Amino acid sequence: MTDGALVRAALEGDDRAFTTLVDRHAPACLRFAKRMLGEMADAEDAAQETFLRAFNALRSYDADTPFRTWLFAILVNRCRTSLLRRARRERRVVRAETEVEYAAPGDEVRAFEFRDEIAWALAALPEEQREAFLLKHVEDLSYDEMVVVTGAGASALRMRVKRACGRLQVLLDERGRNGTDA
Amino acid sequence: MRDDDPMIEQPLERSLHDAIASLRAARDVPELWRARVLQEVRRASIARRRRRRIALAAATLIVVLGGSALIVRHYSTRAHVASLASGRVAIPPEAAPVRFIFDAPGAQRVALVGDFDAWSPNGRPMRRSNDGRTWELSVVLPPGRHAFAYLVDGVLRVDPNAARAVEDDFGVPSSVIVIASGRT
Repeated sequence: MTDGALVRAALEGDDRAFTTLVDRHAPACLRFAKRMLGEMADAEDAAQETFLRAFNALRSYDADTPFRTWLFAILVNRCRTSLLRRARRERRVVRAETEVEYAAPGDEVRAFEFRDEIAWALAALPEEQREAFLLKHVEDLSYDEMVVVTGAGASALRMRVKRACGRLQVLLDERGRNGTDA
Repeated sequence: MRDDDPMIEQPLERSLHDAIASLRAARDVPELWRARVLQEVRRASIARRRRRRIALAAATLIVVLGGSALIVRHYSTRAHVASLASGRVAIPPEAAPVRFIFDAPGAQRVALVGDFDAWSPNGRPMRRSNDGRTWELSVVLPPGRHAFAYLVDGVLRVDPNAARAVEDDFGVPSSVIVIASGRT
């Protein structure tokens, strides 16, 4: 059953149809939110809020847009809101280059496993670049879909993705060299 | 064209390619998180249906009887339902303790979860009995229908001795207990 058919069924009162949509899209939503926010608890909150908002706004869903794109537009906004709240609370995500350099060397860091290295490198990206990189390369959205999801222009998104790839490449190469030297 | 032209997609180097493959790995959806989401959706769905019914009933009454006094009543009823749906209603005086008992021999941790505390991720920890087989907990509940389940070492279990949520509206495995009003 397609997403569109499930949305129609949910609007007609079939509660299980929305459950199927949750089951189908929750893994990607949680994955994106976790990569964006770093903390699993924050990711779960953002994804939960996303599905609740999607359910409440189901009648406004335009069937010409893929459901996943529409859902990710909500999710991206929830993640941005969560990051804003966090920035007001405290600055947890390492962003500035000087801070990255501070976090890079050391035996403890070299002992990180590959996944932790990637999480670290992702956290070092500016939020806009991290968001664009994840949507493009991890969630496999097209640039047209990303325009709908983020509200940014296609050329700006291409630039963000390109910069994110370049920066991640540098960070991972540096980490690899440090690991080899150790 | 320049090397930094964003229109040109450069091939990804191996380390970045591997990183992306790792990031794409599927995440398991935590069972309790799913239950919580679907419970919230169910609650929103019920509140929406009630609002519709009340609006329809109120509109019918207004048409039949007329008079502005009924409008006041409609809004006050709607506000009451909304507060029920949001869980902000204080425990009424007729609430009373309910003892939950569950057989889970060998379990390390058993907790009670349910809609009465918004399917809190950790639930309410239960006490292990002396024989180590059963787990118990008393919870003060107001009259009404309550959906609940046991979280046994991180896995949701329904109560085999309680009624299963027949409709299982959004697919959350849960049991149901109905507390009658007027208890002492």
